Amino acid sequence: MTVDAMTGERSDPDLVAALADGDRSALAELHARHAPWLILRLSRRCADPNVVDEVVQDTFVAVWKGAHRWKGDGEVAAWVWGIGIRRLLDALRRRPRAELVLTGADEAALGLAESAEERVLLGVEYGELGPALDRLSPELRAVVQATVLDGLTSREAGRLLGIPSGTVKTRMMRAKAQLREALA
Amino acid sequence: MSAEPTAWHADTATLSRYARDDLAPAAAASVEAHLLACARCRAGVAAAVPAPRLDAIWAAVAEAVDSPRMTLTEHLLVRLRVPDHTARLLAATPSLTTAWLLSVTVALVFALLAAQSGPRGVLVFLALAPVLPVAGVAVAYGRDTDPTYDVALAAPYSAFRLVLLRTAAVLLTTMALVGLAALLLPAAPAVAGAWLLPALALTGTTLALSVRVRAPAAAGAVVALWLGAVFAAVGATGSPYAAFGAVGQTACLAALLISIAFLSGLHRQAAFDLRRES
Repeated sequence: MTVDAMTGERSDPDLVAALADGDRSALAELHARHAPWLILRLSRRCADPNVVDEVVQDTFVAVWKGAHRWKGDGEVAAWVWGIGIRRLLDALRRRPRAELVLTGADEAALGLAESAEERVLLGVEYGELGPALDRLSPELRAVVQATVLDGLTSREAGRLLGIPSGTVKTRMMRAKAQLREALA
Repeated sequence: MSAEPTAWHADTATLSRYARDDLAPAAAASVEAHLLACARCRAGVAAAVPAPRLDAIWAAVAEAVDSPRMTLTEHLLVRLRVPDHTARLLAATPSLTTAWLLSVTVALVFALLAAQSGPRGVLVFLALAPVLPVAGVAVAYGRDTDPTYDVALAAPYSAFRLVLLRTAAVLLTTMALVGLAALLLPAAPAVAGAWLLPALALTGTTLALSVRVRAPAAAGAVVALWLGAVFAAVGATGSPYAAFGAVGQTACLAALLISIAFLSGLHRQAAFDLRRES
């Protein structure tokens, strides 16, 4: 067990392992650590705070029930995000589209799960890729975000954005072409 | 690795701009990527979410995690649009469990087997049939048998409404089983249906009596009275169905109506308090 020598706190993986043994306090701790950023990140993809709260609830209940399914490698945060974004998709599917307001520029708010992409993007703000991404139209940025960075399939991305999965693929191709051109 | 994810940290200003949704898309992407890998910066944005919002979410999570799994009966009731607290109280009725329904079924099978031997056997069935719902009602509510006894005490229900609710549910299921079995009786329909009114009368009387005495005691007294009457009638007339003739049925109807009148009178006074304590 990894316990921080300074604070005596358990690590995220240890907390998830404790969940599998029915440790409620571990769930409370994980919630305290991960609910805030999850709320903020989901809020950039869905403007209705009620939906976001419901999705965050569902996510932590799923974390509790599915703790044994965590493979034990990688970041717990990335695992939580993977559950959260799919719960959001489920929630969006249950509601009529009209109720949803995807926040304009925030449709393009980017995020990523893979550490390789992450390392690339850590320099995004000050490199050439950042401005290039910012110059993409909101529609194209949204597709890049959903597929490349949020790790969704074309179908899932289409559901999130309310467009057919074929459109997701063609927009992705156009986005790649524009980025390549901007960076050439 | 040249770019260790944790070597870089988003500064406080960037984090609060992210939380306010005030960053250019690429910069926001950068922050989100970093947050997945960095506990320190995750803690840094946490303050941007109001504590009451987090508390409300946690309360809902804790409730979902703590609530026991729904039983099959409960699922079914919820599907049928029964409110979920009602469904829980109903599903927890001891005499609605599979075990109870199974024992009712076994009793009916034996009574049916006995009925094959002739009128005396049919009499066994007819005498037993009204006893089953009474037994079900007797164990449907009380400290000894009810796992939700404490919950039921604290429920936003009058004891009266709960008793009626459960009695209705028990009557429905038990009488459905008895009714199915009665179809297999080797007797004329008039005879095969003769248990119906006595069943209702005995249940009603038990319910009325349980205002004063505990339900199992009330049920015991009613059943003893019933069986005594049935066999006394047989002894007096020599006919096996003596207790199920016009006189018997009329007496049952009278008992049923009296207990209904008594119970609805109580309901109106809102003075019903089941004797649950010893």
